[in-house]
Amino acid sequence: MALRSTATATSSTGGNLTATPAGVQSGDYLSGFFSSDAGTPVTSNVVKPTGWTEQVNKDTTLPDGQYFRYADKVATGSDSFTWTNSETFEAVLIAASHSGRSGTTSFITATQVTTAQSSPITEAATGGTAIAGDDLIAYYGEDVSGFSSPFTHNAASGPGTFTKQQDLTGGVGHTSSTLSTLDNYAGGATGNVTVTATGAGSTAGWVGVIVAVKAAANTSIDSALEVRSPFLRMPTRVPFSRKFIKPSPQIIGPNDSNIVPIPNESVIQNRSRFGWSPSHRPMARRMLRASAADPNNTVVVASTIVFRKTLSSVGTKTGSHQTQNS
Amino acid sequence: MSTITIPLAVYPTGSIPFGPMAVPGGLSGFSVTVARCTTLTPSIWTSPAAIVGLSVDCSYDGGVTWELNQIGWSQGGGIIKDKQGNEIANSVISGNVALNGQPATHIRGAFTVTNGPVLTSVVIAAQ
Repeated sequence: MALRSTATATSSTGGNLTATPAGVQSGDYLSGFFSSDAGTPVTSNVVKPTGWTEQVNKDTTLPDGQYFRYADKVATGSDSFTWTNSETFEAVLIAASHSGRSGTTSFITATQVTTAQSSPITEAATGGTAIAGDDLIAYYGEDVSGFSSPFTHNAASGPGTFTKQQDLTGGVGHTSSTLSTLDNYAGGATGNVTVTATGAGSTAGWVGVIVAVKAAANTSIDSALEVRSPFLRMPTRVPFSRKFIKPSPQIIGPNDSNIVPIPNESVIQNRSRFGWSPSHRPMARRMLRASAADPNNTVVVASTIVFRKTLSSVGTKTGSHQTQNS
Repeated sequence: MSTITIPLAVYPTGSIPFGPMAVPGGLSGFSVTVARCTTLTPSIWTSPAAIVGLSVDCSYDGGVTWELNQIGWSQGGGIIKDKQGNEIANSVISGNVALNGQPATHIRGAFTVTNGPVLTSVVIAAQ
């Protein structure tokens, strides 16, 4: 249900690059963003890892020449993370693994500017409409055309608080990339997702890739239950709490055999997540524990609602009762 | 800074392991420098068919368990020039990893040669 791990690999002279996120489990959503300096990009010179799907190809000759690729995959547990690259310029690769994902995306968008921008560059990438529980992934890369100092990035900003996971350059700084993520987005239109790239005296074009990865199906159900109003779940659950207490024809005491102890209270606690009213748990505990906790060995039956019918049937007063145990 | 140096020598086809070594600052300070062929060093890693590779394993628990091949790189030899036409004397490879937000504590790895032999040197630095 969140970012699990990230890895990067960079080379000042290109070549094949591998970046393997740690701890990848079968079913994880894997993402990879590859960027390499280039003169005139040749598509066949950069090849995604085996078994991955290339979702974005924004290779460009302007302003300086650059490869920009985004690919993804649902992990099997024996996945390749090697990008084949026969170029010999600076190259950077970022890969990430997200757990608890369905393997499908709400959207993948790519925004590109191919004119040289002066630092600091505000890179506003178009987002999309996500559903509740989506993880948002934001990759950015620069095609550096005029170099004075390497570009660095802040965390992405947008519909929530992103965390910068990686920020790197390929060597001296002619290629740069960054990754920010936001786990369990509340849902809805994201608007633009923006980073600021700063490289004093440098200019660049850029690409931003924004991805919303859907949560796994069971995760979505849990999330829906947790956001339900307690007012919606209480009325239908109140009668069930009475099943835990059998009426007694006599004065109720802690050792009354007709009081059925709840063998495992953790069951109740777990069930409350799915709709049990927590206001009834303290009542049951008070009944069962009073004799041990009360130094006067007095049981206080505070709930008139539950026992009224039973006590009146044997002629006992209703309301709060105290009884001394022998 | 921790440094491992594989000295300038002729290395046959095969693998040369290195490490493990601690990376106190995480892998942000990790780099591998491989000597390349230039006009001034014409005998170093001359052949494009000779592949030099690097594979780095990372540990997040002080070297008890290892994530294999987290960072990798491979490339052929020969003279490489940058966009300005300058010959590049070294390939510099670096990487960064994080697991649940935590950086690696140790690295180990292997330097491999395919279609060797290759004359080169390798310096692995972590700080």
